[in-house]
Amino acid sequence: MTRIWRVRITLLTMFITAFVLQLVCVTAVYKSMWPDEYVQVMVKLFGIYSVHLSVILGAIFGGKPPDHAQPPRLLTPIAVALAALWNVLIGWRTVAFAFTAGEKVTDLIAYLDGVSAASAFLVTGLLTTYFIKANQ
Amino acid sequence: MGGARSAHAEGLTALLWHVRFIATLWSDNRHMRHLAPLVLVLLALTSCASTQPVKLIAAQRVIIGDETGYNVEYEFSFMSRESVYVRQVGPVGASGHLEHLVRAEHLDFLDSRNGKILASLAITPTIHPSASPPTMDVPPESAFPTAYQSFPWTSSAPLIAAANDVLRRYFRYEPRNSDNLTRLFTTYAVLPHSAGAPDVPAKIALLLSFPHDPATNRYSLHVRTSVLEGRSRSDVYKTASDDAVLRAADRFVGQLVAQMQGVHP
Repeated sequence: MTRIWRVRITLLTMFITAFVLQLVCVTAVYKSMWPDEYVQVMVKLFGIYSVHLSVILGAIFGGKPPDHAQPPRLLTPIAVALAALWNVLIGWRTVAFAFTAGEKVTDLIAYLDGVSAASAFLVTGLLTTYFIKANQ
Repeated sequence: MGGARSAHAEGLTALLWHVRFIATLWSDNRHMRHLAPLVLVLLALTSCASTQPVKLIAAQRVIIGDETGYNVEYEFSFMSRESVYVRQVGPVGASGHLEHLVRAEHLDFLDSRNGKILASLAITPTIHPSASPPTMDVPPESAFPTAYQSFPWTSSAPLIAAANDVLRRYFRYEPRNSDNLTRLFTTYAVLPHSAGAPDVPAKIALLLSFPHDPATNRYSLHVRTSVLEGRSRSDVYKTASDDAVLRAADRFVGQLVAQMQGVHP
């Protein structure tokens, strides 16, 4: 496995793990909200992750990177750290929602709306670099 | 004016009684002669103060629906009467202590429904919250299903007084009097229900009325309930459909009525 693939798998695993963890957390407490609110949160999470996961999965299934393709050595740990930071920013709130009594769905949705939009810049560039440009 | 005249008449009666009492002392005990004028003045002052038939205890400005109103607490005592009629409340005993919501600026006490005014109580706020007035969530009549529970009124306690004593422990309530029928609309209160549904908070509001049955010449208590259930992680409340909540609501109403009837004082 080339280095670019290792980075890709690391990022893919990170995004999917965070996404699934949040789905599980929300589903675990679905009885404490109305069905339409549960659907609203799920749709919101799918909406947030759909952009990034579509880039990742599209690049993976879209083609094999050239063998000589190498990720920028110094930028790789920064890219992984930024991706982790973004997932923590989004994920901690959902996990806290599931484990804290008295949390409200409306607050969670407002947080996800605001933070996901404002923090997208953290991952947009690195996903482009590692999953699209590497194939060129 | 009629109320003022009545109050003055009652004050005068009390004053005359005190004058007779002092006169007796005056004639019986010569040492009292020096103190008698002072005692007379003091007694006159206290008798005038104590014969105000209605007294405002507390009033706080609140928002009821879209209107400004008051949560008012007052007591009243009309000597030589068996009952009076409070315009916004309906018939009540001659004396009592009530606390309820009202949208008017004053409460009128009449000798009967269309009778003369015995006294009028101007409502001026005695409690001044630092923030905006609290909102009282009194549901409209349309929020209550038409079905009701009926309880024969077996207690010797006056209806309004008994309802007031019990309701104010759990709710705020607004009396409305129309078509000679008093109805009490409560705010929503958290419905205590047994464990087993911790994720289903519920709240309940009541609409109480006291219709008179001419056939039996007895009053009965009709209770309509608006029961809402929510979810612990949601701000939204919807009409209750959970069996546990509905059973808890029935139990709660039963307990309230028992307390009103004096079964569980």
